[in-house]
Amino acid sequence: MALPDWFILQQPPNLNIDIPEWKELAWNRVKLLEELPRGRSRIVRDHFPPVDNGSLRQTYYDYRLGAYLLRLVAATNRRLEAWLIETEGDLFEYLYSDRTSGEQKWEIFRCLFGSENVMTYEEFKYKMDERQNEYLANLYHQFHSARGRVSSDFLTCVHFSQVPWMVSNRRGYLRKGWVISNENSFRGSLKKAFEHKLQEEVVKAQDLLGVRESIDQAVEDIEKSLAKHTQIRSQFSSTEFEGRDLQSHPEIFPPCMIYLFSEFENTGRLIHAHRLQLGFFLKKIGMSVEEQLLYWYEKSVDNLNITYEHFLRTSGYQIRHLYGLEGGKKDYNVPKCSTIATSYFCPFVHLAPAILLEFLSQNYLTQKKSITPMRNRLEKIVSQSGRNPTMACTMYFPNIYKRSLYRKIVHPLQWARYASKVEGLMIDQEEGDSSVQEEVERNH
Amino acid sequence: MNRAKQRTALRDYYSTVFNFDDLSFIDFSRFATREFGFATFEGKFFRNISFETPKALFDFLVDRTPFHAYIGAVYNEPPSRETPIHTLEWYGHELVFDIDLNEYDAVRQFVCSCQGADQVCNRCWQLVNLAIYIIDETLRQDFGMNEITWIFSGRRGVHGWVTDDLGHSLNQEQRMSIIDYLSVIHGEADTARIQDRTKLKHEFRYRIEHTVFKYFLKTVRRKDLIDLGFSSSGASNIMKQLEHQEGQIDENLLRNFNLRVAKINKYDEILRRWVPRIDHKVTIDLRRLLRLPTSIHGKTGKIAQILNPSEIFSFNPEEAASIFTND
Repeated sequence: MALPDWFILQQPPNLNIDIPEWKELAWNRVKLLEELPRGRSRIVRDHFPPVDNGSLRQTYYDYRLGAYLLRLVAATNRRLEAWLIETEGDLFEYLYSDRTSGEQKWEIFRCLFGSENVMTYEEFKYKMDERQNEYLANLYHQFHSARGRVSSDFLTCVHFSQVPWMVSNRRGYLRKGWVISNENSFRGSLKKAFEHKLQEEVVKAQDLLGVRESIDQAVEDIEKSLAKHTQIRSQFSSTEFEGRDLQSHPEIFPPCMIYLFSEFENTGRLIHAHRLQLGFFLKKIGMSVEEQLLYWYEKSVDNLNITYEHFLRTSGYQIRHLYGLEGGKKDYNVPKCSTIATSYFCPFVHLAPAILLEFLSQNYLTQKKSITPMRNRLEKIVSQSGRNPTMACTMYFPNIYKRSLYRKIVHPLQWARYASKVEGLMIDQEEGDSSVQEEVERNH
Repeated sequence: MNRAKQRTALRDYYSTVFNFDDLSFIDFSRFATREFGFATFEGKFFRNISFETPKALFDFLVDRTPFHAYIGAVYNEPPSRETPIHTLEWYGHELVFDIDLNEYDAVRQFVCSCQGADQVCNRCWQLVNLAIYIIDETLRQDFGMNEITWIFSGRRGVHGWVTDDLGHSLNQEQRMSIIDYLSVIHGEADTARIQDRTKLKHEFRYRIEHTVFKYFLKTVRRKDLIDLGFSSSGASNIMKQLEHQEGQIDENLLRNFNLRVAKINKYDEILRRWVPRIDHKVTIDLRRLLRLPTSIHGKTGKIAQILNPSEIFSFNPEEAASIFTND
């Protein structure tokens, strides 16, 4: 069985073709990718019909040709490269789930993970001598007796080194270095592997540049026309905090952020969700994208063996994404407290009581004064945290800043706004923020 | 012992006892491009050092008698002051694990009465033993790694060296995934609540729970059970049973204990206190310098000895000999 025709990471096409025609094919591919965010199912339905009787072979070949030229273009412009990888990754995900037979899926597994890193369930059982493994037998039984199982789904085994996300999250049964699970649960990792491979292909494509003048010219033309994808669309963090350099004042950070901030300072690592949470917050209190790129590069232990250039190409993408410079180009806000409680990190929710007490009593120091909150007050806050974390957070505020609040803290920026006013870090009155100012003044 | 005597003791150790063959578990096929680091008696620290041959390293140890000796990763060229490691291409580093009692400070009070950074007793060492057992077993059973060596750090912990070929070339993301898999506690601090147990699947979950309860019962005192919420009679019952079985913890006892713990809903609390705590930075930092196995820990004078697999669990750090004696 061969790879599906729509799969673009196949043997390079024959490049003895008419350049204007090739450019046309590349433009068709661009249009298709541009439309993707607006109508996924329409794109798949119109351009990739479900029944492939061989008549579409030429069409798919043309798609691959167009995609190949775009790879050359991406090799000249990093922002375009990021855009291409993101959108091609999305398209791959849709086509993989909607337009791929079981056997073709298997071929994609072998292509993206490497044939030495993929095994069928039966192969694993015999090669690894796991015929007597009762957990494996249970897994097999559960899989085949599951209600709503899609007939094209199958059990497969992938070496753990290829699917670190699945290992981290314990998705699947890990045995003798192989992750065993159904095909469906490998999709996220497959998409990542596809994007990684595409990135490698873009790097390889650089070798073709400078060989034929006509190709270089075509690449340059397309690159110029695609300039809109290289522009910075985001308005950055046009917030009330912009330009105030508040990131150097951790004393105004809410407890969740100060915890993550100091955790990152101390350990050099945060899990993905925590990185996002802190990243959004730092952005919104005025840290520029360049500052934040440097911040994560310098502080993170993950970057010890990589150059800044490499960092910009890999992790830098995520940071630029926070600022709406990549991917969907959305200017994200900091999640509100209720979202943080369920999906991110809130000390009042996620810390064990004894540790929370210790954190609240020791880790909150302002630059102006060292705060030592009363132990009995903190104990009340800790007991409140189990029932109502946002109320506990609100109760904690006066212990630090000696100002009462008449509103509940429901958003990290709300804390930062109140605290920065108490600390005298915001001088001018912001529109729509009078209630906060009045509230603080009333308490002075 | 004064500095001069310590220096003499170190020189004697390196010239007479230190044997490079003991390090045969480490792949030294690219010895010349491996990084070494040293701390001097004066408190200075040097890294980006490489040696052409093991003999050159041996001579260095004898001549210079460093306070601490460390070993790092392999690079494409020999690290030196002129070509420091950040200018070189990283080639490989064994997968290493650092288990240190420092990581257990928040929960050690439930196991023993040791306080401060230097104290260690046989009871709290059980926390380390438990971590060794779970990590070793999980690496072998779940990750298919076979060549694992455990080394006493010379003070309050152990280092695990996985010397399989695969472990040598793992990148940070892959190393991090192993750490995540092994970490049962949510969050990096020694803090947070135990992960949802339904996420710990299959044998791993069984291994964790079974081993933790076994070690818990091995060291349990009546007052620990009462503090945990057991009724007085329930605690006495467990203690009697333990006494009757002369400390042998069989399946029956474990099942009985399991049921009682479930009744008072303290399952997570016991796991939280006992599950392995690994210093993840050591594992994921590809350029990390780690104490050179069989070298001397400069502060304690104890040898970073390779633990014999059959005696790992009977090793007592308090009894480990120090070359810095006052005789």
